[in-house]
Amino acid sequence: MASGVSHSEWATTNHIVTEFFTKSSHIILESRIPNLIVQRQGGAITSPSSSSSLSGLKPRQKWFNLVLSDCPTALQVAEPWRTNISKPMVIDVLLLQTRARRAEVHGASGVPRGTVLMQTHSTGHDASIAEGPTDSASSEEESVVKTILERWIIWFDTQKKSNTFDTSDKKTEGLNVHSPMSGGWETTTVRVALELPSVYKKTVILLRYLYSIMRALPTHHLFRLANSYSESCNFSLDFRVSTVASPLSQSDELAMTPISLTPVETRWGKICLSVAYRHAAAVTALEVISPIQPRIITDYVIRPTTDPLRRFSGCSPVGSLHTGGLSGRREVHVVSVPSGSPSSPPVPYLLHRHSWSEDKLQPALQIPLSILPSSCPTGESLPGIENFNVQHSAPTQRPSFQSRQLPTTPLLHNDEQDVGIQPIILQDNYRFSPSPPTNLHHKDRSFKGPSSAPVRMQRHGFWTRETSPKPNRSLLPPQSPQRTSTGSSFQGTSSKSRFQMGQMQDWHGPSFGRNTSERPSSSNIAELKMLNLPPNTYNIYQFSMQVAADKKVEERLSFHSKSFYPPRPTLNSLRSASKSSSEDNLEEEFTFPFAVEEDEADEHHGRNEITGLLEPLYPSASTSQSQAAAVGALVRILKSASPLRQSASLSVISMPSHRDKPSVYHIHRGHGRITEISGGLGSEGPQVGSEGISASDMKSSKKQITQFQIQGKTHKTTFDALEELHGYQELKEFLQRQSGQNPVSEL
Amino acid sequence: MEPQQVREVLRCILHTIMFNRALGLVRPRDIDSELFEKITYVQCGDATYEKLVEEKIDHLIAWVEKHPNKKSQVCLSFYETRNKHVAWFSNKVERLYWEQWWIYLNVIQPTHMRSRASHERPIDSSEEERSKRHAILEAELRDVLLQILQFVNEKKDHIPAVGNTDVVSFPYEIAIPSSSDSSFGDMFKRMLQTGPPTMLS
Repeated sequence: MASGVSHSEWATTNHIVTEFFTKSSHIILESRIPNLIVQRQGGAITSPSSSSSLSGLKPRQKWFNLVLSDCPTALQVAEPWRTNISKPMVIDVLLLQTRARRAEVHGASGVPRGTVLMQTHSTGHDASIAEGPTDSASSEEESVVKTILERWIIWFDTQKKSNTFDTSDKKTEGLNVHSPMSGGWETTTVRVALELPSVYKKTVILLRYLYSIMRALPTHHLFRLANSYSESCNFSLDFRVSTVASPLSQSDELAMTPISLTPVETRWGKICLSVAYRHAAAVTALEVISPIQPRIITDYVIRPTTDPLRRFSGCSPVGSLHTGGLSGRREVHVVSVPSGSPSSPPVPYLLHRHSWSEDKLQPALQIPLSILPSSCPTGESLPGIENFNVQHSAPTQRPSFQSRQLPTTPLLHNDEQDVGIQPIILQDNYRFSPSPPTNLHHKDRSFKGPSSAPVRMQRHGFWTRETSPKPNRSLLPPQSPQRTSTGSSFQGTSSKSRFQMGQMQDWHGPSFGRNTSERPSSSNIAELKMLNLPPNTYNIYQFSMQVAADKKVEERLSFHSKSFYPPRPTLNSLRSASKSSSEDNLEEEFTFPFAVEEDEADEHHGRNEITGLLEPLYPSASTSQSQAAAVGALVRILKSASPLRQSASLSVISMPSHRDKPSVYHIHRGHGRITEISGGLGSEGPQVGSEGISASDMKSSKKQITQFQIQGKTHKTTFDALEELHGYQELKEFLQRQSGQNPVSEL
Repeated sequence: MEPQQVREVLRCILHTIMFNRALGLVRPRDIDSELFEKITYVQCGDATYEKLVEEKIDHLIAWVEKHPNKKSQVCLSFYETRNKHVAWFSNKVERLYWEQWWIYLNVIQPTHMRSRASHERPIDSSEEERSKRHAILEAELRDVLLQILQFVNEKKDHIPAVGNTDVVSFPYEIAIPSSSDSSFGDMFKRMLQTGPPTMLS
């Protein structure tokens, strides 16, 4: 009977101890590891603070009269001790600080990782609780700094001095009491109740104490911080459960204060609980340093004033980190610019949707922008272009473009169509027609711009006010001072660029017409030398082309290009492909003060100028390779340039007949329509007249047109446009009168 | 401490004590102190007790305002009732206090502090002094809470057996200085009348 009672008591005591292990581990983990609380249905987190009734509680929750939230992790942790309470439970609360930003430190399961080291137990399901960090961890873990904050040890001390099966409900033990009478310590015997209700009551009090002290220790503040700033915390709390207390370092021992809780006596042992916690000062030093973590702003709008190069300093791979227990189910997003890995997420402003190219930039997303500055020293050398280089990504289609150290101006990359205005133009012109020097730099045809570009380039040298779409202008940096300065210098550099273009084209051999034909051998040399041109020179040239805002200058340059760069046969193929766009662009008349194509003397003079420029500029470019040399050459050209007015008038009147596409509109006195007539004024008259107009009428109209054209070419302003419009109106009325129709007052 | 700190300090202490002595089925509730950043105390969840605590605190604050710069005490007592036969035909309910927690408070009025500060230091440093005192008070409060827990941990055997299923298992009372000056004297009389707590088994 007594043995039966004792056996039942032993079973009850064992049950109390087992539940004590579970409850205490639950309290410790819940109070130290964030996000362990299971969310109930509806998203509400089960919190002990809810005022709901206690009727629907599970029996396990009512143990020790302390209702806690559901925590499966704690149950799993305490599972090994359900079968064996002889081993102590050592719970280490760790502070994880990720010094090096690595990939996932812990698993992606979202469950806080912890390690259960059952060195003496062989319960398979227990060992699979977590595959958290161990001493023999991978290189990733080595980058995580672990600091032990607390060490809780729970054990059932079965070592008894008295008989284990003492059936008395009280136990006598010595208690040292200070006696005021004697002034010393006396040992008195105290009878300690060992019955189960008392044991259970004391365990309840012990757990109350544990729950309270968990909130009073300094580590609780870190727990609150981790809970509050879970996503922006640079540290995490983790735990480690084992049966053996690993030795602490000397520093840890000095920094930690032990507390031994009063054990609960039972007949079969003592329920013991102790803690070693880090001092408040030590914990304070480990608190969050910077709660704000860098993040990728996906909708960041880059401004030209921003220095993109700064973003690339200290690059590190982008990734989201699962950091430890904090973590548990939250990620600490640490984002930075990728270091070039194609698999890395795109750089923020690569995702920026530029107006010019949203789709075209997609392929370029893989290319890290960090390459851009390094591969474009030319861009770096020019402050004005630097931003351009970084703003726009290097398209994947033209890796060689980058590698050849070409300045990546925005007009070059942001839109293939627009790029064609510049680099494509240059490139294509390089191939098919006299072209700017850019073409010499890259022969890579992988970059395919619009075929209309070379036509444009041929006609105008660079885009005109009409051909340069507004997005193109928007591509230009809104850095008005730079543009202005560049634009102001454009006047000075235009000739330089023109002549650079001229010399480039001249170097390009037969496609450059007579000049090149006379100097076939020099083209190759020029080409080679152009390749060696200083990047700065090239950049100025190209940049000046981009910023061309003065239409007069554009006209001059375009006409000059037209005069010197007759189209090659291959160009026609491009023209036919882009005829619609190119012809639309060839609507305006341009005055080319420096154009000498109409006049052989001027042409020869220009050729001489170009020729003359070749030697001074080319050698200078090859020797000095500086912007100053190019500017000096340009100044010389300007000084030797023929007057504008005479050239303009001459150029208009004496349009060569071999020209295919005059850049003027000819009013056709046919059926009252104003059509574009391709061809020169003189040579293409019969073509125009094929619609049945009398020759006399044509002549008179031609004279009118000619005069009008002269007027229009010299000053193309708004006022001129209006006058032109009025002229058209008069002509229309005249034509309508001729045809017998009612005149239309307005076009 | 300052008057506005009295409420929070008393809340922390009284609730911490009660949580450790309320041995009924408790659903603990963590309360982060509004005044002290690094202090979190636990409430037992008993609405009656919470209400009583707030009332007593209000009374104390009122008393402090009437008696500025006077030391005050708050006593949380746990007792058990016993019927004592005083006479043949009368029964007297006797309270046997088995545990009493005395909380001594020294409330300083801000005006007094400012005037004191003005004599000693410039007025510009009053805010700095105030923050320092606040930090010291927070540290002292944390020490008091740890001391309470230490007592709770060390002394368990005197706690009587749980007789009911209420959250607060034992009867209790909170004594504060009343409006009359003799309130503390009444408290002493009551203490003298009742015997010391017995070591209940």
